[in-house]
Amino acid sequence: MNLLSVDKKRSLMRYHYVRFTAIHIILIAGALLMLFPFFWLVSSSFKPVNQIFKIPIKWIPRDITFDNYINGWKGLPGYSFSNFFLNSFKVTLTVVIATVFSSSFVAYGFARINFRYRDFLFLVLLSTLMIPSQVTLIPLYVIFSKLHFLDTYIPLTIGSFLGGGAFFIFLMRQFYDSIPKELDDSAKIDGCSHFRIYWSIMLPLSKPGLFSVAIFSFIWTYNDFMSPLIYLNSVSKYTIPVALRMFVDNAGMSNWGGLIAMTLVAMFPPLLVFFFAQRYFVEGIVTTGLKG
Amino acid sequence: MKKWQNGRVLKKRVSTMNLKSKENLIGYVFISPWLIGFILLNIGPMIMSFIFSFTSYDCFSSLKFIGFNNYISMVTNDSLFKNALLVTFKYVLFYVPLRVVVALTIAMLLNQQIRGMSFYRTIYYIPSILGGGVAVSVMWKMILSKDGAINALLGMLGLEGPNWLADPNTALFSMVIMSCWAFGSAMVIFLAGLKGIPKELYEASSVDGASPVRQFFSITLPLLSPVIFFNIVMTLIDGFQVFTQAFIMTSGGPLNSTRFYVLYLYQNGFQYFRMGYASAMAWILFIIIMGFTLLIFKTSAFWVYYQSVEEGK
Repeated sequence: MNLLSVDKKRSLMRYHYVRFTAIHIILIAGALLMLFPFFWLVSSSFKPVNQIFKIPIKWIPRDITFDNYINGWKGLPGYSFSNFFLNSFKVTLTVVIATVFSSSFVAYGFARINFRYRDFLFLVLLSTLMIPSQVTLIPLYVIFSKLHFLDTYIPLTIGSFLGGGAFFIFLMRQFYDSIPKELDDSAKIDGCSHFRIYWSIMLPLSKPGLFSVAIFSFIWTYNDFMSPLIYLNSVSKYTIPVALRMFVDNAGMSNWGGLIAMTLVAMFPPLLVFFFAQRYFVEGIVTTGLKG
Repeated sequence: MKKWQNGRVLKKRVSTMNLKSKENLIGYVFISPWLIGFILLNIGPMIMSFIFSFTSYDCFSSLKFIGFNNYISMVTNDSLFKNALLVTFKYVLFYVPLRVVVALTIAMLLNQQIRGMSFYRTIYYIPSILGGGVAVSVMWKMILSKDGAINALLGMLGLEGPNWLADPNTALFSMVIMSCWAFGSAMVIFLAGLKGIPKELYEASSVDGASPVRQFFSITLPLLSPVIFFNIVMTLIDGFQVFTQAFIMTSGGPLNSTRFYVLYLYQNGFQYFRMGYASAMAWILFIIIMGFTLLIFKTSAFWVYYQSVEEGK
């Protein structure tokens, strides 16, 4: 059986070689296609404005300029992008920290305590994943406006203190399921309360899960456009996406360079997080089937 | 003696009851943040939205019930509603199959145990990180403009590209392509699914002389069908809710060709303050998404292969 003739072996090897080269060529071509918009953005951001839309495209600009970044950073009248980044980070950091603690806390209840109607309530929790957010959009706006919470960050952050959403509770519960129950059983025999077990045993053991939650909530909150669009009125409170959108309207034709530079800058935080924490991303998606 | 025993049994029962109810109490303490959120941010607003949908509420005046008028006028005298529905269906019809096929193709190429797999995976995942956000939309708006980068590339090939986003014939199509560009999360899920298919199946079948095409249709596709099913459902739900791209890139134009359902809903609620009408639209959207999801669930019996069922044979 394995007495393949030398000829046959050689042709098999050649076949494999050709095949792998072909796959690599396809994948590289695909990757270039995927990254092409970014290449254009990066290269244009360093070009003088009058050369940005010049054809044919010069991928490496002859005279590199930082003017676009300087002009863009000035942002909207009275408020620079420092202001908007600070706002975005305030909101995002609050949401991330609150989500990590509240989702892991709630998930502990579902994973480790046997209370009445638990399974039913968990089913209810999962079913909320199916509800499109548009159904609650209008009433939530009305509620927050009647409570005078409009133009504050409360509507953007309150959910993160209340479990942080079914996705994250589900993710953490899945994670807890992979931690052996014997650990907390023995702690219980030693007289540990559930709060102690959650805080001193489960939290330290579920760092990778918590990390996934933190990263996903960072990126979703940072990218979120609809909520700040609806709830924030004053420009001084704008987060990056709404500020960028207003910048598009304001800059129009006059500040193309600044717009290109700021578009790129706005993409930076999520990309940075992704490159440093890739592993947790992939794990998080695979364990729960989250969308990116 | 008997009295004492009874007392002891009773005490024991009380104490186990206490223990049980204490466990119950602690359980509810743990889930209380979610429970409060569920009532205040989910179910409460849902009931309100349902009520609003039968009123002409505008956020300023008091509730005025108008029966089914919102729902009726959608069908009878709102051509923009019908347009939004049509445009969104068209979008979903192209977006879902295209995204799933692209994600599966790339995942299969990446699953060939080639070198640099994680590098490619990273690159292909990047667009998904930025999602359908504002920055990405602004970027695409620029490269799709009349003298943007895409037309410059086409020009190099001697082709003259249209003004993608300003032409009613190409605007929707451009958005489908742009959304499919972010196929990374579906790809990662496919990759995990492909890793779960036992290699022995491929080895055994190639000994029997099965071609790669045959292997794909007889092994990969059936064993991957639950994952395909999952990705179709997720992409579908996502597709019906498209908003940011259209809001930033076209504001619904040209000639309403990208005035998607959620965009029109937003405009009704927050630009024309027809909140009752927007609530009714939200419920219709909910029913549409639910309906399609259920339809896929129902038909899944015919094409999704669940191993555990077949294993007994």
